[in-house]
Formats: sequence, C-alpha cells, structure tokens
Amino acid sequence: MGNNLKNELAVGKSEIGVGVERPRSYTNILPYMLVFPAVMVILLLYLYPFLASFWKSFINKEGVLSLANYEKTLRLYRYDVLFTLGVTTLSTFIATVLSIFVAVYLRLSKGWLSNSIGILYRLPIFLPFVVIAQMMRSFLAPHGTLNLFLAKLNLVNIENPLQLFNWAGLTFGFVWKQAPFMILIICGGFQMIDDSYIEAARSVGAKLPQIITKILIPMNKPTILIAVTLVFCSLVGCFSFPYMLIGGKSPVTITVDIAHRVNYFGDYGVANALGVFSYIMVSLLALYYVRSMMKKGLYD
Amino acid sequence: MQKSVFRKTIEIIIFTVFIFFLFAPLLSLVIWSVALRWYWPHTLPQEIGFDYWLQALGITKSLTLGAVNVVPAFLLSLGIAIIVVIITMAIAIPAGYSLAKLKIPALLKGIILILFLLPRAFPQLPVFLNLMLMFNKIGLTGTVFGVILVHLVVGLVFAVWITASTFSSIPPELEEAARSVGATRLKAFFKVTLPISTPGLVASAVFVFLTSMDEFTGTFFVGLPFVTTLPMTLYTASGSNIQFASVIAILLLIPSILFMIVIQKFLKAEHLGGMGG
Amino acid sequence: MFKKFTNFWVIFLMVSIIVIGVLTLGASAKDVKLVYMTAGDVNMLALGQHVIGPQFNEKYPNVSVMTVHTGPGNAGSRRVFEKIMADKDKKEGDVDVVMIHQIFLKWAMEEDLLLGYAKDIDTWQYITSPFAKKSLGVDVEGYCMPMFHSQAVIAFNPKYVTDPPKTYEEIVKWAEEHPGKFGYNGIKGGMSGVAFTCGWIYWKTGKYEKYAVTGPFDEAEIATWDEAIKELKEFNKNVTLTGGNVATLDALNRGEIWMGPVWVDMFLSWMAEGKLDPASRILLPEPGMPGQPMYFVIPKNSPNPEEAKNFVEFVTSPAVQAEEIVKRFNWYPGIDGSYIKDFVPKETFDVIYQDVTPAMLAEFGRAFPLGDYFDAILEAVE
Repeated sequence: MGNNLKNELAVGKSEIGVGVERPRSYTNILPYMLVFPAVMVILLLYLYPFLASFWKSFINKEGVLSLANYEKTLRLYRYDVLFTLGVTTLSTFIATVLSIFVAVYLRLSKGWLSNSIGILYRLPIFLPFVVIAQMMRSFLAPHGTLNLFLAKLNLVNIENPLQLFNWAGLTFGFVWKQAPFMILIICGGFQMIDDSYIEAARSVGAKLPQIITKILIPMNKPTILIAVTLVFCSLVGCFSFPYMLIGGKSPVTITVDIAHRVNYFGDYGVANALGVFSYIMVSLLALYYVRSMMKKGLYD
Repeated sequence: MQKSVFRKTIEIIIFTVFIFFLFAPLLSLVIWSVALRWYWPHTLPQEIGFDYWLQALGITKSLTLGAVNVVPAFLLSLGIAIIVVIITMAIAIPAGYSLAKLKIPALLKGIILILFLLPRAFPQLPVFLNLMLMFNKIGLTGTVFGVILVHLVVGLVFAVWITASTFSSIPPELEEAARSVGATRLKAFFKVTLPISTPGLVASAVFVFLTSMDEFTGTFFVGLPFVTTLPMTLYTASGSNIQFASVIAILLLIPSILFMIVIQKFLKAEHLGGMGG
Repeated sequence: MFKKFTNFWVIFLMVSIIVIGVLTLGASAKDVKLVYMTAGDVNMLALGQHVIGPQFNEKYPNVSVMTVHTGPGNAGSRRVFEKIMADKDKKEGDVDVVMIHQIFLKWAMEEDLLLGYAKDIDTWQYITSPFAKKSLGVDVEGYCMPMFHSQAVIAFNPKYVTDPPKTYEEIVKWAEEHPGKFGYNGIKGGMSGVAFTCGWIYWKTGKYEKYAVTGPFDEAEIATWDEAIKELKEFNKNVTLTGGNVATLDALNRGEIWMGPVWVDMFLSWMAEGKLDPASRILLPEPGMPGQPMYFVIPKNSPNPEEAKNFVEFVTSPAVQAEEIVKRFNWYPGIDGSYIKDFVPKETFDVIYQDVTPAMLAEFGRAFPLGDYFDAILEAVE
C-alpha cells in the first residue's frame, strides 16, 4: 500500500504540466489521499491485532515458539470448541428454516395478520445482544416468565422447571435475535420474484411445497447463503450473551473461555489459540462471503 | 369454505405464538423494572412502582445493593458515541467517495475492499484482545480515548460500506453537469453530491452512533474497569440487581428502536446484521 | 431543498465543535482525583460511589474520589493485581488506594507492591483483628487496614425448609432429599461458593488448624482430598449452580432454590430492602464456614499517598465504621467492636446477631486456608 502510494506520487509529479485542464497530479493522488486515513485505521487497529492473534497463539509462556498453547487448548477446551460449533450450527439452522417459512408466509399471504407480522418481526434486529442477554436471563430463568407461563398451561411442573441457562437458552436467544434479520434479507429476495412465476407454477398444478423448493429458494440461493454466512459468523463471535447467560459454568462458548483465560490466569497464549479456533470455524463461510461480496462489487 | 376457516384458525394460532415469543421476553423486562416486592410463589409482583427507575436515573439517592446511577454512564456513552460518529464520518465519507466515484486500480481496490470485509466475517473478540495488549504498552487501556479508537474500528467498517454504496447510487451525470457549468470538483461535491446523499450519510452516521452506544466486547477488554459505558453498567448490574439491569436494558433499547425505525429504509438489509454484537 | 441539506451539514459541524469543546473543558475540574479501586460485589461499588466517596469529598473539598469497580471473586482481585503490576515500574501509578480480598495480599506481598502505611495513621490504634497481622498465613502487619469483616452463612426459607440442617452432613442429606433446591455459586462465581467449598474440605479432613492456622504447607496433603472432592462432585449433582453471590440470593427469592450459602451482610441488606421473603433465616452449619475481611491497601507508587492515607483513616474511623459499615451495609466492623458501641443502637446489633450469634461466630466462624492450601484447594476442585 505504502509503496503503491509512493509510486503514484512519483508518477503524478513527473506528469505535471502534461495535463490539459487541471494538473493531473492532483487527480492522481486524490483517490488515495481520500481513502488513506480509513485504510490506516483498519491496518493499525484491525489487521495488525488480527495477525498478532495468530502469531501470539504460537508463543508459549516462556516466549518461545511452540504448539503448547494448542495442546492445552485441545486438552482443556476441546469440548467447548465442539459446543460452540454445535450451538452455532443449530441456531443458524433453526433460524434459517424458521425465516424461510416466515418469509414465504409474508410473500404469499395477504391480510392484516401478515401485514402486522411483517412490521413487528423486525424489532429484535435493532436490539443489542447485552439487552437480549438481560431479557433472556429473566425470561428463561427456572422460575422466569416462560416457565411460569408453561406451568399455568400445565405443560411444566414448576418444581421441576425447564433448565434453560445452557445450550437451549443460548440457541433460543440466538434465533430470537437473528431469525428476524434473516427474514428481512430473504424477504427482500422474495419480493424480487415476480408474481407471474408463482401464478404460472400454480396454474400447472404446483402445490405450496413445490413453489417453495422449486421457485422461491433456488431463485434466492445467493441471498439466503449470504444471510446464513452473516448469521453464523456473528454467532461464533458473540460474547456478551453467552457470558451473561452461562458465565462460569461449563460447557460454554469459546468467546467466554477466552475472557476467562485472560481474566483469571492472564494467559494470552491459550486465549489466542482459542481465537484461532474461532477463525477456523468461520473460515469457509467467511471466504465465501468475501468472494461473493467482491463479485457483487459495490454496485450490488 | 370449511377449509378457509380452518386456515384462518391456524393462522391466528401461529400469530399468537409469534406475538408471545416476540413480546414475552420484553414484557418480563418491563415487569422486573417495576417489581418492588416479588416473593415466591407469587406469579406477579406483589408491589410495583417506579422506585428503581427513580434510583437508576439518580432522581432519588440509592444505596440498594447493585445500585448504579446510570446518568453518568449514559452521558459517557453519549459523549463517546458523538465523538466516534464525528471521527468515523470524517474518515468514512472521503473513503466511501473515493471507492465509489474515483479511479483506483482494480487490484488495490480489491485489497482495500477485502480489508473492510474481514472484520464483518471473522470474530472480533480475539482482535480486541490483542488490541488490548497493544494498548497496554502505550497506556491506552482504561482510557476514554482507547475506547473511542475501538468503537471507531467497529463503526468504520460499516460506515465505509454504507457511504460507498450511497455515493455509488448517485448518477455521475449530476456532478458532471455541475462541473460543465464551471464548478470545481470540490464545489460540485459540496453543492451536488453531498446534498443528494445526505439521507444515506445521516443513516450511516446514526448507524455508527448506535454501534458505539451498544458496543460491548471491545469496551469490555479495553475500557473496563475504568471506562464504564452504559452496556458495561448493564453487565455489572445484571449479576446483582435484576431491577436495575432491567431499567438499563430498557434505556438501551429505546434509542435503538427509535432511530432504526426512522432510518432503516435508507439502509441495505445486510448492514443491519451488524447491530449490537 | 439542496440548500436545506447544506445548512444541515453546517449545523452538524458546529454542534460537533461545541460538543468536543465542552468535553475537553469538562476534563479539568477538581484539584486531586483520588483513584479508588475496589474488588468485590456491587455493594462495594455503591459504598465507594455513593457513600464514602462523596462523604470524603465533603470533608476534603479539594479531593474527589473516583471509584473503579473490578468485580467479585478471584477474578476481581486478579484485575486489580494486573493493573498494579502493569504500573509497577512507573514512578507514579494510576491507582491511589485499593479495597481488596485476602488472596490479593499474598500476590502483592510477593511482588512487593504495597506501601507500609497502616501504622502511620491514627486509626491503627483501633485495630485488634488477627486478620490485620496475618492474611492466609502471609505476614501483612502494617501494610493493610481491615475495613470490614463478613461471614459466609447458609440462608434458607423456613416455609419450605421446616427442619433446617445444622451440620454439613445434614445439608448433604437434605440436598439428596430435595434435588435442585440447594444452590451455590461454585468456585468461579464469587467468594460465598468458595467459602462453602473450603468449609467442605475442613469438614471432610478435620484439619482446619493445620490448613488455616498453624501450617506448614505440605504437598502430600493434596492427595488426601481426593475422596472429599469426589463426594463434593457427587453432592453437586443434587444442587443448582447459581451465577454468583447475589444470584444465590435471587434464586432464593424466586423460590428456585430453598437454601444456599450467602454473605451475611448481603442477606441482611436484601432483607432490609424487601427483596427477600421476610420469613427467610440464616444459620452457620457445623463444623463452620470461612468468613473474610476486605482490606485497604495503598500501592507503593500511589500518586497521592497522603490523600490516600486520609481516605483510609476516614473510613476506619469509629463514626464511619458504625454509621456506614455496620448500620448501613450490615458488615461486622473492621476495627475493634468496643470502639463503635456508643455509635450503634442496640436494635442494629440485635438484627445483625439475631440468627448467627457472636458465640456461634466465635465457635464456627473460620478463616480461609493459608495461601498455598487455598490455591491447591481451588485447583483440585476445578
């Protein structure tokens, strides 16, 4: 980047005077000058620490290059790594299925019910995870609102309530927050499909399941995949919600383990090794996302 | 005919379940924020009132276990968010304009774009951790400035994308027309491009504002225990005083909902996924 | 319309400049800012932020106190320790005065981080507690002032626990009969769970004297805990793990658990605030559970050592100890009780000592184990 900039500067200078209306040096440097501060911020405050997390994960306590951190991570947190992967995959899966159903319903149904759902469902998108964490703590508690309600319906014995401060509650919260976001994206995609396609399919006898699997989903595959990717990646990195819901109990997500490792032991090696595991977890989808965004370019 | 009644019934049942799961968690937050006395096995609080609201807002003095006066935390969060918005927009508007409107070689542009995609794809927590180590060395951990820098990174990524797509949606003919009647590039930008793109830019600024107000993970590592923003006080109160935590949670969700209702139509759906990490 | 938007940007710019200006000006307000770091639960934050901070400021108007709270349990102490360690080689650190648990003293004494200030201040004469001389077996005399003492107890609701257990053994039996209705916070969520765990080891081994009073540290002892820890893990299967000291109280109020270990001061505060069923009671099971003090210490490189000393002196003065520490926060005083008698009405003492009497405290109030044993127990249980 720096080198490139210098070259451009040099080129610009040599061409002074050749320009027609305005000095070309100015037009040549301008794009770089404008983008330079933003790039510097990301390089220094994002890319450098990002790369450092890889590097530091290979440095053991004595400051020597080794795999000790990975050995310890696998020994102590193997189960938590799988737990994170499991909960995230499950949540993403449920959110995807749920949001496709809701999006289909919103696309095909008319009336005040579907209209009001179409507005109300957006609410969770705007709530930060800290707020959701506090909400779920009181909602999902052993004697919280949900269990009390289920007990009133005689679905649950209140002396032996659902224990939800674990993977189940985590999944519930993740889906609650992320399914609406997916609905929003997928709905956008579904709106693009012209009614005439659906009418045509109906006229040759296609039933609802076929319309969904043969028309709506295939025509929106890229949109759905982007939504899945964004949700999965953000859930792997989510910290506040599992930290406040499950905290020091086990099993818990990687992000909470990282915080514990740092707060209790000041052990940055293992913390970074755990971080690398979280990178690996999202790497395939992340690459897919970067590639498809690059293809799309800025112009959508 | 019978089929349609059946369908309507199903629809209403699903609607009820939907409303329950959407609003019951919110409702339990509201109930707890006004619950003064609530002993087991009472299904609802025996005594309700706004005492905890008054205490949290610093109107009545309070020594309740877990009491925090949220006003200083709110002002701190507000101050940080405003500064973050100013710096972020000052950096993001030129960058977005340059990426959308000016000539940058394809390869370099690609690299820059990838740079701005990485933070959205990969978990940010390990990055904040190493940022904290970096800040430790230069004495920025536990300072407001350090927290501002963290929020800057978080907001900038979105701001650059949103401003770039805002600018790229403006037809280039407009600016060219202005310049053909003698305006300089700068003048054309301020007289034509900037006014047209104002709604998109304001949306982007509000978005950055909200990411800063809600930011948790970065502040947790870089700011605590010296810089306690509103989400940090919520975290502290959460383990110790349900009523205070509920009050703070409600205070935090009000600006999010208000602002987003106003600006969401100016934003692309994908960007909304960045809310409240 | 274009013009309207240009105006908008002009106003935006002006507002920005004003905001930045106000924020910079606001930063330079008072003469001395005393940075007071405190570990422990949120009541410690309230104490600093709402009580002793403002009161000290009233007495010394040129000093404002900034309370920084790090959190409960070993994690909270760790955070303070790392901050002081990070500043160790600086001539002036950022922290003036610290409120801290016992384990921190062990770490800090090993690294020689503390100022030996206690004997220089007036209120040292009121200190009679043995905890001011030795903490977890480490010699700390002169480096710290105990601010309060508290005791871990078992809280229960007599509506559901008609025949409360009096010993650890009966607790185990009760938990077996009422699965999930005994709750505690393990060893990661705060000190009341740690206290219950250490009490468990004292009970199973019967070696309280050796582990907590006389010593010496003997690594061979660790192996003898296997059976006790196995039984604890067995016991854990019948109990509910809560999220922290306060979460145990909360679960008690919500009827999620009927019994659990809590700090006596928090229990009394919750009772006073009406956040617990007024029928709730406490007991101290045989053969006892640990209690702990919290201490004031001053880092060696405190930027304002004189103000820090004044601050400690202020909080350990009989009047403040009586009014705030005992009456308001329900702790046992850090200074000798005889000096505060005149300031505290009899009713206050009656409430504090209603269920757990001074006689019971003397017999079953334990200390946490010596530093090395302490670490070993925590590690073995994890």
